[in-house]
Amino acid sequence: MERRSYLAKRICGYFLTIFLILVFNFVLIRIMPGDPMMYILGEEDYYDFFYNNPSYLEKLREMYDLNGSVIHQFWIYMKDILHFNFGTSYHYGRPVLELILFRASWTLRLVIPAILISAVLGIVGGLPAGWHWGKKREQCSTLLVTVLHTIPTYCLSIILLSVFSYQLGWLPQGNMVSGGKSGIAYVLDMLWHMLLPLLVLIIYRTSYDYLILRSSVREIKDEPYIITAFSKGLTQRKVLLRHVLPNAFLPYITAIFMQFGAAVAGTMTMEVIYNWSGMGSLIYEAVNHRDFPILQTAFLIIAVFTVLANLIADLIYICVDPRIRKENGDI
Amino acid sequence: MKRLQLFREHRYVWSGVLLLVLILGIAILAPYIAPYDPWEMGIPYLRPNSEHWLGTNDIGQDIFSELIYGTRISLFIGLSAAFITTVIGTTIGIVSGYAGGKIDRVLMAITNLAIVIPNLPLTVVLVAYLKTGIWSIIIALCITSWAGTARLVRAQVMQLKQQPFIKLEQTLGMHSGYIMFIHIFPNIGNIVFTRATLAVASAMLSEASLSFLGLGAVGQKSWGAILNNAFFRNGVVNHYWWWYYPPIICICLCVIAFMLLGSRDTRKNQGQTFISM
Amino acid sequence: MLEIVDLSVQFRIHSQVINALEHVNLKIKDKEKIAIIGESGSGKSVLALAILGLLPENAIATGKIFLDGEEILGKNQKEMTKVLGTKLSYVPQGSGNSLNPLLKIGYQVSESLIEHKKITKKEAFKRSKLLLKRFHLEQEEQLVSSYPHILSGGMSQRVLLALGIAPEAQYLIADEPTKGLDSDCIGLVAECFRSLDTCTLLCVTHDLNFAEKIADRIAIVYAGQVIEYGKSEDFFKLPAHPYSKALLNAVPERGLIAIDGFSRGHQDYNNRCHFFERCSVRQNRCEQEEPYDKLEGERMVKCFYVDS
Repeated sequence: MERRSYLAKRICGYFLTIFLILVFNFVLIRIMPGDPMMYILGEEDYYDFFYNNPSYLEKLREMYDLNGSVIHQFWIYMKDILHFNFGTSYHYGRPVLELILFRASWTLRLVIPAILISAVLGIVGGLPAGWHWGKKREQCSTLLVTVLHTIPTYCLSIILLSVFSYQLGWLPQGNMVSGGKSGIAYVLDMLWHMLLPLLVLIIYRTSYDYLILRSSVREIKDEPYIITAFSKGLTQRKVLLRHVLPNAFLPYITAIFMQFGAAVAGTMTMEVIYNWSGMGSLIYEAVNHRDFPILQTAFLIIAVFTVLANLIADLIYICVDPRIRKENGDI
Repeated sequence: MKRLQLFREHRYVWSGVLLLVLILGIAILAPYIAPYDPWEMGIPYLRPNSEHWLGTNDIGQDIFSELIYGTRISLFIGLSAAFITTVIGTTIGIVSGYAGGKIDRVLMAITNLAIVIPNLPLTVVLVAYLKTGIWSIIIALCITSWAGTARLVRAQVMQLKQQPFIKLEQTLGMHSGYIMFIHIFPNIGNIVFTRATLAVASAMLSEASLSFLGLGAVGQKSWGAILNNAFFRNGVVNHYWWWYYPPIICICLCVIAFMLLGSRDTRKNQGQTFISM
Repeated sequence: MLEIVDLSVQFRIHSQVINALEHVNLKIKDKEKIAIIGESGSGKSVLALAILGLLPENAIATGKIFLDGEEILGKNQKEMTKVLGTKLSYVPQGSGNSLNPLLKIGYQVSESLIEHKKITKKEAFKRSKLLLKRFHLEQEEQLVSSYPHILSGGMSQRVLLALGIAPEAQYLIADEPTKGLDSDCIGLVAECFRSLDTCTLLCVTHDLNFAEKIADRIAIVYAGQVIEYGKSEDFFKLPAHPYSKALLNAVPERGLIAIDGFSRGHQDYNNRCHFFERCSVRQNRCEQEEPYDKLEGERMVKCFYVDS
C-alpha cells in the first residue's frame, strides 16, 4: 500500500513537471524580444504575411488572442497541444508533428542501440575497474576513458570522419543510405552508414557508463555485506555477480535512463557532421530557417521524453528496490 | 620536503592550475602574442609555413592568431556563465536548504524542472529567439545549469543545519541571513568550488558546440567558430589538419584544465579503506 | 586446533604505516571458547578478519595461522572458499549494513549452505526459519521473505548470529555479537554459544560480563598486542596485567573506576611498554624496553612487574 501511494505521488509529480514545461514554453515565446506571432508562425511565414497579407496576420493574431487575456491565450495554446496540433512548417510544407516524429525515428535508430551497447560495455569495463580500484591497470584504463569522455562528441566525430572516411576511405562520408536499394541490401547499407555515428555515440556513452559504474562498485566494495559474503566462502565471481552487481545496477540503470534526454540531445552536432537526418539536424535546420514552430515542438517533445525516461527510471527503482518506503516522498 | 609532498599529493590540481595560468596568460596577452590581426584577410588556404604557423583559412585569416584570440572569447563565456550559474545555484541551494518548508518545496520543484529539461536543445532554442551576441549565449547557458549546484548545496546545507553550532546560533537569536552567509557558506566552499570548475568546463563545451553549429556570437573568433569554418568550408574534406585539429586540442585542454582544478575533493579520499578496529 | 603464531598486521595509508597488530600468539584448543577483549581501536576486529583472510587490500599480514595444522594465512581468496562457510564461519559486526539490502533474509542466512551443501533455495528458507526461531525472532515466516531494511539493530544482530551458526562450522569467529542487544538477548546469545559444544569459538567483544558467561579463556588486547591470555576463572578472580586490573575495575559491579588517560592507539611506541603512560605501577625499565610474554603457569602476561 505504501509503495502504491508513493508511486502515485511520483507519477503526479512527473505530470506536474510536464505541465510546468508546457507553461515554460508558453511563457518563453511571450517574454522573448520581438513579436510573439513570429515565434508562433516561424520567421519565413511571418515576413511573408507581414509584407504580402497583413490582414491575414491580424486575423491570426486575433485567433491566438494575443491582444487579449493571457489566460485565454494559454487556453488556446493548451487546446492546440492536446489536439496534437503543432502547426505546419512553411519551410518543409508538412505538419510539424509528422516531420518531427519521422526525424526522431532516425535519431532513435542511433541512440537506442548506442545506449544498449554502451550499457553492456560499461558493465564489462566498469565492474572490474571499480573492483580493482587503485591498481595500475585500472588507473590506466580510467585515464584513457576520462580522456575519451573529455573530448566533445563533435570533435570526436570530426576526427573519426577525417581519418576513416576521407583519409583511409573505409567508411561512407555521411548520409544515411545510398539510394536505390531495398530489402536486406537496404538494411545492410544503413548499418554501414550508421557505423561511424554509432561508434562516436558508443564511445561517449560507454565512457560515461564506465565512470558511473566504477565509482558505485568502488563504494559497494567497502560495504560490510561484501565481507559477510566472502565469509560464507563464496567465490569472487559469485560475490561480484550476486552481491556487488545487483547493488550497483540500480543506480546505474537510473543514471542511464536519466541521461536519455541528454543522449538524444547530444546527437545534434554529430548528426550535422554525418549528415544524418534525425531530430538533431532538424533542429539545426530549423534554427537556420528560424522555423520556430519546429523548434518549440522539438524542444517540447525532447523535454517530455526526458521526463518520461526519468519516470521509467523511477518505476524500475520502485519495483526492484525493497528499501523504498514512504519517507522519501519528495519529487 | 613537506612542501614537495603537498605538491605531490595535489599534483592533479597543480597541473590544472599551471595549465590555466598559461591559458589565462594567452587570453590576456592575445594582442601581443598573436602574430597577425585575426580579422585581417590575406591569401586563402595557405599551408603551415614560417610566416603562418598554422596556415590561413578560407578568407586568408591567420589560423594561429585566430586560435589565440579564440582563447579570450571561450574563456570569457565559460567563466562568466559559470560565475552566474554558481551564484544562482548556491543562493537557491542555501535558502532552500536553510528555510525548509514551503519555500524549500517551491524552490526544489523549480530546480527539479530545470534538471529535467535537456540543456542543449533549450540553449539552441533560446539562442534562436534572442539576438545573437555574447550575452545571449551566456544567458542561454545559465538558464538551467544552476540546478545541479542548487540541489547539491541544498543537501549539504540540510546536513549542516543539524550541527550543534548552527543550532546554537539559532537559539542565540541570530538573523538567519547572517547565519546563512557567515556560518553556512564557508562550510560548503569546497563543494561550491568543485561545482564551479565543472560549470566552467561545461559552459565552455556548450559554447563551443553552439559556435560550431554557427549559433555563436557573430563575428567573434572562438574555437567552436574556427571548427565551424574548417568543417563547413571544406577543411575536413581536404584534410587541412592544421585547421581543425588545433581548435579541438584547445577545447579539450581547457576542459581538462578545469576538471583537474576541481579534482581536489575526489582525490582526497584516496586509499582510505582503513577499517574500524 | 586454531593456532596463531607471531601474527602482525600493518595498514598502509598513503605513505604511513600503522601497526594494527603486533606479534600475536594464541593457541586455541578444540571446543574451547575464547573471548578477545579490548577497547575500540585496539585491533581486535583486525584479528578476526585476519583469521578469515578478509583483511582489506591495504593490509599486510605476516606470521602464520594454522587451522587444524593447515596454514591459512598465506592462502589466496580462492583457496579460502573451501575453508570459509564450511569449517570456519563468521558472525559479522552488526553495526552498518552487514546484510545485503537487495537479498531476502532467508536466502542470506543460509547462503553458505546453498553454496557448499548444494541445498535448494526452498530448503534454505526452511533452515533459516529454524535458525531465526532459535534467537527468538518472531514471525520468522514473514521475516525470511523480507529484506534487511525492516530489521531493527538488535534484530539484525540476531539475524547475523543465525547466519554465522548456519553452516555448523567447527570454528566460529564472532565480531561483537552483543553490540546493540538488550540484556535478555545477550543472555540468549551466551546460552546459544555455550550450547555449541563441538564448536571452537573466538569471540571479539568488549562486554566483560558476556565474556565471563561464555569464555573458557580470555585474551586481552591493548594497542595491537595481546597483553594477557589465560583461563577465564583466573582472569576474573585475579587479573595480572595492570591494564586488565584497571579494565575489571571499570565494570559497574566493581566500582566503575575509569582508567587514566586514553589509549594512544597504533603509533610507534619505540620499544617500550604500550601501556606505559597509563600504568599505575610503571618503572623506568618499562620505558626502555618492551615487556616480553611472561608465562606464569597457564597464563601469559606481557608485563615485567606482575604480582608475585
